[in-house]
Amino acid sequence: MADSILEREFLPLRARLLDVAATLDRLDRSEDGQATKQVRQAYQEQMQSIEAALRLLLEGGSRAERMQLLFSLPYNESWQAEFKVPPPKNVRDGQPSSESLAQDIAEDVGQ
Amino acid sequence: MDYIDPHIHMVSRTTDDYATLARMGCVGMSEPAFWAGYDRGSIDGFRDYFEQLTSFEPQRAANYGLQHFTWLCINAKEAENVALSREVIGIIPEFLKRPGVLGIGEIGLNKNTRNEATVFLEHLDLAAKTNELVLIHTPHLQDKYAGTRMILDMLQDDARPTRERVLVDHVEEHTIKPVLDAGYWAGMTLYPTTKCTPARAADMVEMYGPERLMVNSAGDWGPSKPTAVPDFIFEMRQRGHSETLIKQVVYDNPLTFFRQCDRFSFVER
Repeated sequence: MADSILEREFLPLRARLLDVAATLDRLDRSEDGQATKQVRQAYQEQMQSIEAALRLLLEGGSRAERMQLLFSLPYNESWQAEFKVPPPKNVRDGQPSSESLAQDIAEDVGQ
Repeated sequence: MDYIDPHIHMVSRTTDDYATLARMGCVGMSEPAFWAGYDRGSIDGFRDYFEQLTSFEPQRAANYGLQHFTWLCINAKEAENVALSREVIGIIPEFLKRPGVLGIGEIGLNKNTRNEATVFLEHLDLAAKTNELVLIHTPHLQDKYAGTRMILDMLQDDARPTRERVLVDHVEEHTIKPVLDAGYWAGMTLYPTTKCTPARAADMVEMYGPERLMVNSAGDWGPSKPTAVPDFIFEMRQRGHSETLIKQVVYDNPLTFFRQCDRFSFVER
């Protein structure tokens, strides 16, 4: 089983790794001394996440899931309290039943 | 193999695509309401869109022997405008009873904002009151994980929609497990650069099993491939999976989910 999977996947995997290597080389060649500090900082942050993802490849277990999480913004467990999102019972027939809720939401409209 | 694409935006595709899909084995599709690439300026824009989804597209599909079904909502991207969203939600009941309308969708989150959450909950309320199926869009890229968790929070706070009547779409490796564990249906979208590839979707079928799992192309006006489901079928065959297993994911599962809607009048060939 493992032999047949490796046989089928070796060349495509090799090709994808080479593509990654060539892309990183291309990024090295494109370093722009004229870039603003803000652009350089954004680039560095992106490269840090790419490097973390590359390191993750050499660690075993659930690589795809862990890489997805690496590229994800965190989940805030208290988001509902912070948003003050009304529970479903406060809504009737698609219209807000609370004037204060409508006012709250109106403040956000157009932002 | 006959297959159903449970998520594809045919309003953005050419008639040639209908012909190609028919040649590739597609026998039916469902088309959720979505973002047109620009924010519509008025309620009339949505009324016309719903007319197109419920009248013109089914006819265009039928010309190639394809059965077309649809979902109605204002999408998460335009939901930032809460006032317009409420107007749209107000007209949805006018269209809900039309033949081929499967329910409310694709509702969800985009950038995980308070306004999006508010409009999501109001759609969910409409679906519960009208006993409609729900199709949910989960956000893109770095927003997907938090957005999916937020959507699950909101679903689980509302006891009315039963879990087997909700499809949470665009799941990937980091979001599929909580969706399936909670008892919802899950959709995997096959895209060229974002979301899933056919190989990764096949991996997830192998890891989580075929129950309550579907694949779709979500073909639209952006980088997408309307024939991505046949690519998934090919990948599964290459790995030696049985025709029965493949058919469950690409045909039986969409049928089982859609048949919960009384207006789903699909005829098998």
